[in-house]
Amino acid sequence: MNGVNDDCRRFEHLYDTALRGELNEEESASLERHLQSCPDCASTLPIMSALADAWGSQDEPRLDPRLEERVRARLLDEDPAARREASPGTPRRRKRPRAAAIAVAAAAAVVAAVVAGGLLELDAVEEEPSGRSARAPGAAEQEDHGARGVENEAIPCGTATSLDGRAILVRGESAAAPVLEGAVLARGDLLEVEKGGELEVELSGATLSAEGGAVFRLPERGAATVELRRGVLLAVVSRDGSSDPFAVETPAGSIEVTGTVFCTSVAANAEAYVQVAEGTVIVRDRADERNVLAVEAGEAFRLDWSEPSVESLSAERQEDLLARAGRTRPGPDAVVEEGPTREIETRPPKGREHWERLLAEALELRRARRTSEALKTYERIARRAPFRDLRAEARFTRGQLAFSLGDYETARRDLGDHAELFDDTPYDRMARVYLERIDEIFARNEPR
Amino acid sequence: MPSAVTDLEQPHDDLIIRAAEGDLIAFGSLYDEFADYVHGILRRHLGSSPHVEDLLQKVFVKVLRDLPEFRGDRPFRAWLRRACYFAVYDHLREEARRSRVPLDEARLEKEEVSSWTGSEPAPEGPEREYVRAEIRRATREKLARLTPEKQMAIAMHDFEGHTLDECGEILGVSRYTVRTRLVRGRRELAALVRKDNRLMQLIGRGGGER
Repeated sequence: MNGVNDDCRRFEHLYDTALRGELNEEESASLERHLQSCPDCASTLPIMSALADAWGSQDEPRLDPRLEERVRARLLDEDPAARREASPGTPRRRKRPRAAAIAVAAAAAVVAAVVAGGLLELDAVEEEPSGRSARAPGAAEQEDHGARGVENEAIPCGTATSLDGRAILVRGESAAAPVLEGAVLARGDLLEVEKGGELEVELSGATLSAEGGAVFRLPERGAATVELRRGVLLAVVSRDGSSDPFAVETPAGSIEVTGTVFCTSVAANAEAYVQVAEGTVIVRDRADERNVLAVEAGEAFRLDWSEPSVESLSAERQEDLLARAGRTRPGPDAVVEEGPTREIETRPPKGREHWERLLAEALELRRARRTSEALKTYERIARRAPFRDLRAEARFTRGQLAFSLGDYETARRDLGDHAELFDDTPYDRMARVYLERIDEIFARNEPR
Repeated sequence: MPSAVTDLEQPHDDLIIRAAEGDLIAFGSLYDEFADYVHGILRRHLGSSPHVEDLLQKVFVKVLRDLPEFRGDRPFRAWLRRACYFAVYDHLREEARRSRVPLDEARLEKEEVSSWTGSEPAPEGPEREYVRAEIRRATREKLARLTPEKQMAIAMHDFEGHTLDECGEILGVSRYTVRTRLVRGRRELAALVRKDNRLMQLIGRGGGER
């Protein structure tokens, strides 16, 4: 298959520029050289031209008058009243009111993760019907906005907006108490939902839907991280450029949703697993911060860093997640991207040590806030390392660093002008995420 | 009553305004006026597929429903064209779901054997038009083996001539994503074409000349 070597990739990325006749001398010359030695690339332009030509050349086939009439008849039989209603979409499976966590103008990100881990031993809960009608002992305290008589002040951070089945809550040192719909939840609360049940929690900027025996802890003060110990958590994070990244911690890694990124994921087996139905998530290895991966819509990733691989998500699963998140059908964001199984190099071959050491130095420079030196080091690696993956890492990290410093012009150049370097690496997707954010930032700051 | 569709400077203003207000006779006239146009776009993307009739209807149903929101900030034709693309894209995704083809590079390996031996006599009639028609048919067939996302990117950008931004806007993704899909899509499409000896010969026989 074409496109495997660097020259072919370069050609692919200069293709449009070449068509517009905007290649500079150096590009032109090197492209010429490549085309002379690569029959595949040399055939690409004639092939695409022929296809484009044939596509556009057909005389518009006459619209068969009978077809035209059939459709016309069906259209005008449409009930005019039906037209004025909003499209109902497919009915949601659970008919419960949904908290308006998702702003109308902003699309939302949906994240879910499943975790393997220790069981939380909770006291047995008394049998009680779900819903507001029953009040168990302790319920009154719960709705007392956190004044439970514990030493630490309970800082409200969310509400249990809907409950199907049973759920319990442990706050501080107190014994477990049942969760009721409408209960106010506090920072650091540990929640458990019974298998087969489902609990919806609304936080500021995110809505969580926990099921499958989920055990999770709400963010501590000053943080936006939910710790998921077990079970399934579906999170809808609203898209808002000003909010801090929202994250879900699992023992195997953290799943980060930046404020302006959409992502959806749900995992359903005992291992930590991320499935993305919309947008992109960034997954980090807690044990080794160099292991970072962007998982995009239509992909699933098992958080096993010894043998990381990204798989495709079935379209039904994707639709299912989106439907549960309140989408009636996948929108344009919910694309199923094709991608081969990707493996991250974990055992470095010999000869790379020099450059890898340089990368480590650059990281140290960053940590020491010697940013201009860090940038220079990354630049050097990006230009000179004979290993494509290291060049890609350096170039991407440089762009990322520039972005974090607010130097969006540099970030845009680093991340946008080197697409062929990132091709078929995880950086490709991550770079796009940043580029889109930069676009938004520039659009926001444009004078009206 | 006032509608959102005001201050239009194009023919059919009147029809559009009235149709937006629920006048079915006006809508019928709009259909008469533009059915051909929509049909043409659908045919380009889908060939003589039996789904064209369905989609023609779907597009106009959507028009009927969304017309009150049409703001006249772009020509009606362009708005209509967007509706077509949405319909085609939806359709492609639906087809992909239904056929449940696994989305991996292995698809490229399932190649049909070309049945044309090359020793058949040249067809009668204007050869160039025949060749073009054949290439067109084969293009659609190869294109259909890509994911809907890549199909739309290539069809809209390389074939229909839209810019990256226009494609992104209609498909709901950034231009960077469109570009990635284009690069990968062309790679796959060209690879598929190269494996098809007959198609390569047709292309060599002047399908690309104008």
